[in-house]
Amino acid sequence: MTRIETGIPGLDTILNGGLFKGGVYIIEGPPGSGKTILGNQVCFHRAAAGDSTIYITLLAESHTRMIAHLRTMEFFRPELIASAIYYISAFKVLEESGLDGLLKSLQEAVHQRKAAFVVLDGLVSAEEFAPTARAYKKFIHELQTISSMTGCTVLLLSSTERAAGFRPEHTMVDGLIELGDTVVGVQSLRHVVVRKLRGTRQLRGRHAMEVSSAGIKIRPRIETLLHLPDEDDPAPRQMAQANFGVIGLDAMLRGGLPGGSNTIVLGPSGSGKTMLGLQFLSAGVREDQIGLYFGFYERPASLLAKGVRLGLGLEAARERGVLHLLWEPPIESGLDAVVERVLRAVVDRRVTRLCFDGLHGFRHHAEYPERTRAVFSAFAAELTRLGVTTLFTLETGEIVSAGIAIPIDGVSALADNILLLRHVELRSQLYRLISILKVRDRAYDGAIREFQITDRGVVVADTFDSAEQILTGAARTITDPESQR
Amino acid sequence: MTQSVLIVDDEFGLADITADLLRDAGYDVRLAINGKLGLDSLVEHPAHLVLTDLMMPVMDGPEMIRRMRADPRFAAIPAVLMTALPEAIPHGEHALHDAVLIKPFSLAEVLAIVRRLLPPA
Repeated sequence: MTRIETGIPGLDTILNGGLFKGGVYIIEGPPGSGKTILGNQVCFHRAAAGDSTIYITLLAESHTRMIAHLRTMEFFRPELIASAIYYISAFKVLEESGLDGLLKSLQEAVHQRKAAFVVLDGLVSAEEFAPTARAYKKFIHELQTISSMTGCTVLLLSSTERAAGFRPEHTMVDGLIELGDTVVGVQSLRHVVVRKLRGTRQLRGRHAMEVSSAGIKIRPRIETLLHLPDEDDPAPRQMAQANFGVIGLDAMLRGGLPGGSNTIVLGPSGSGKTMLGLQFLSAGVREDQIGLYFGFYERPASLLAKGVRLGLGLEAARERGVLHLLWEPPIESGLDAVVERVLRAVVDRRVTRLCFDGLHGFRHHAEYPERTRAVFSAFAAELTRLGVTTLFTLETGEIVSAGIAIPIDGVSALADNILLLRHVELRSQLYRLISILKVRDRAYDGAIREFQITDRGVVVADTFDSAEQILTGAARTITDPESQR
Repeated sequence: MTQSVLIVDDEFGLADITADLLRDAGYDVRLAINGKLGLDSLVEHPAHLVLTDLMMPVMDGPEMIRRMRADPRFAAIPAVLMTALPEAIPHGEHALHDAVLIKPFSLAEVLAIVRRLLPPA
């Protein structure tokens, strides 16, 4: 069976390739959910691809008003109208001669214009004019006959003001696409769900939908797109280790991080996570490994300034095109958009080292926080597949704390490696400490060491010399007699 | 004699309001929902002026006007094209209409055009 593309970014992906030619599909959603824009956007796309299309309205909303709205959309191309996109109203036909008249009129229009694609906007009106439920079903059936005989694909736009749930026409058509608008917290989130799709497997569940002057854009849930780790996956290929260029730390890691692995750097605010990330990228660019820094909080300019203070040579690396800095303001752009942006940059720029600064920021972008774990899992697995060694920073709550609370449930279990940065108070001084909590399938030095940020970059000293330094971060010394009383 | 106007439009709404307005202004108004039914109406009820939409099922506005011009019975009837899409208006030799009304139009605009093309008898 031939597929036809809708041309709506993301929709063909969740439809696993587009609509079937000659199929009848219902697009359902409450008023304002974007049905009319979607129907028109597909018409313009099909018309640009050479199809003759017809947009039939069964509503009292005038074409005049609809076209005035469409003019503001980027996909609107007036030269296609009347030639490749034809707007007609069938409300009067329906009013005067009922469903039979509507069918006849539709059939004539399809025949006359040799239409390959038809949108029927206002299915509710057709149902209202149906004398019985059986007559309505018969109408849907006849419509399917027309579409399959002529090879004309039909979209039926239907408002869901009426009772929700499954309806008879749902079982008859080839596909059912639901548009919705939900309020989560203070955000209003549009989504699309493909409830039913004959002949192929859709990407199930809710996918975020955006409506802008560019038209509709759907962001398939990233974890449904990416290959999820599977027990049958081949063992990852062996890759060169990724060192930090910090003698003490590389020694703790027995050379560096396993190539292609992902590491979570845990630590409170100000403990040096971003610095460590920049150091990691800087060590990579020295060997011409392309690095990408992606962050939510610090803008590229302030990061570069930081790099200058540390003598990391970031500016020069950026000019040579081996270091890229991307910044995503922590506003409502959605997890999928963030992940898509990073992965695109990784692929386009052949990145092999990534510092993703702020898994906590990632969580703020999650409309549904329970998704964070699944998205992280898919994201991290995709980065490994792409051969990228990644450092994810993750902020812990307390600045100086006796415990380590990992702020995102389940994420640490998914990480290959975990590094822990802490502040320790000792004799009215704050020290930074680094330790390794985990390196997957590899021996490492688990001792705690002092971590300093100097004008020559990050320096990791020998094992912290107080024997009482323990993993809980509560440091004290026994050499001071005052503290023993 | 009352002057009569034929309005041809597949859309609900604007055509009906325009019809009401013209009736209030003293015209005899008939409605048709496509070009073909418009021509049928002219045969039975001659009109002094035709206002027609551009895109309609079965027969569109420009085609209806073309057929009017080709038929000696209707060739002289002034015809106005109504559309929300000025880009779709026929040009050059295909432009057989006498005036254009861009939707949405004000009722004053319709009256002005009707009065211009149809001076009081």
